Amino acid sequence: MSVDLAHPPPNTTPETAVHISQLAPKYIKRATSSLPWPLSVFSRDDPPEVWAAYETLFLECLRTGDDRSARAILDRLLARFGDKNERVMGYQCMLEEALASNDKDLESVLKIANEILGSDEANVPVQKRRVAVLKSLNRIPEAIKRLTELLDMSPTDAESWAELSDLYLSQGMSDQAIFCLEELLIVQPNAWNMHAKIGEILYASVDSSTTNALELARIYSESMRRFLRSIELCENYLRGYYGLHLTAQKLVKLIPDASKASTKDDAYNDVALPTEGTVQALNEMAVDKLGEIVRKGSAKEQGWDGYDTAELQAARELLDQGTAKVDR
Amino acid sequence: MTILSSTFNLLGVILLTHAAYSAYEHSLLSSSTSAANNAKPSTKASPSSTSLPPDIVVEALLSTAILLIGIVIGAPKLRPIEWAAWAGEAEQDTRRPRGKKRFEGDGGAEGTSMAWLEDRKGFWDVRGKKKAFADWVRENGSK
Repeated sequence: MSVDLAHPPPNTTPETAVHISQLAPKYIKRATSSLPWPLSVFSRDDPPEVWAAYETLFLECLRTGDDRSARAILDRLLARFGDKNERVMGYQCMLEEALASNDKDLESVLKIANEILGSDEANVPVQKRRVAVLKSLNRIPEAIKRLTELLDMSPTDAESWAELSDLYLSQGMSDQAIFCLEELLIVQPNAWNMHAKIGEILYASVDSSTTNALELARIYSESMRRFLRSIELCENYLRGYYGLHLTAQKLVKLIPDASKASTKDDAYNDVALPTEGTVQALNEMAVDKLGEIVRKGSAKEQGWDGYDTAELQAARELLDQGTAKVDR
Repeated sequence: MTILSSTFNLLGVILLTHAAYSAYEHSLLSSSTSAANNAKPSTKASPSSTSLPPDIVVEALLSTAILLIGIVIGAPKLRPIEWAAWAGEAEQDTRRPRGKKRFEGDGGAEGTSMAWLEDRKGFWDVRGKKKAFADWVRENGSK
């Protein structure tokens, strides 16, 4: 297994984490550039990838509990960037968090972060650490408050918008979560995974209290549009097609009732509901494409070898459900 | 592919250098012979009268063509122009191991898929991740 440390895979599995953290001692032993800072930029062993790799190693060492290696990596970062570097200050907070054994210790980390921010409020990495600590302490409302302050200061920070959306979602406030993601899309309009995420939030926001066919059809068709956009932005996007199949399935049943009702209700005339034929065609397309992705992705064919096995499994189960229904 | 392209490039460079050297030698030779024949330096042969022999011209053109082919063969694979095609590959690249990525090592923006919006390293929950990992170790130990 060879992991690209500079560009680690998303949501690393525990196995990968073990593998990566075991690489750390080797990296720490490797000699550093002997040149002082401004000159070391020109030397070959100081490209950005090396520091990205250190970041990955640091995080995975914290995760696996290898605090000694994490400390060694942090020392190296300190030697290279100095203790006034905002990112390094963020890493220092992270190490303190890892060493904290109970909530009281974590409170003291919070105090340190507050002290740093008292002298320099514009230190974004430490601000983010403060939010993360509050979240870890399960003080979500305060975390949301701090994060909105941070976003007031830098409204183009896409990472913060995504985090705020997740915080709102954890509180069951899906409207606010969608609003945050829409703000994010202003900064990153091509973020196909965030389009899919909005679709997912909309799909999940339907609860048993909504029984009106028209209302349901509006939510699902909005969700379907989001999934369609994500597919438009990213070819063969498994998550997008999965969502498209789910929403189209629901809509096929809802559209006949909803279109009858919609003539009476002119409250929302901004976006028309899709026709039954369109939804049917989209559903078929999603099934075809999911089948192709599952088949080729499982066989690891050339150009189809980058799919997550768990996601492929989920897609296969979804398709099997559909065929089981047809058989009956 | 790299062996083929470097062979072409090497051959092209050698031939081109040889053609340049031959042309230089030819001009030296023709100017010295004309200087010896006509004692008066004012009637030195004009550039038009000392045209290069065709073999040198052919060699120069051929070597340039070989060099071009070598460079084109050795060039990295072109990236998709369409955003969607690029994004599809970039999305898969995040899960491909090193050495099997589609965009790798050609100096581009590899690893720039949108996964960072979901990973969010800045908000990394150290304690939660540590606990989840410890739980995983405990579970796998009991099996």
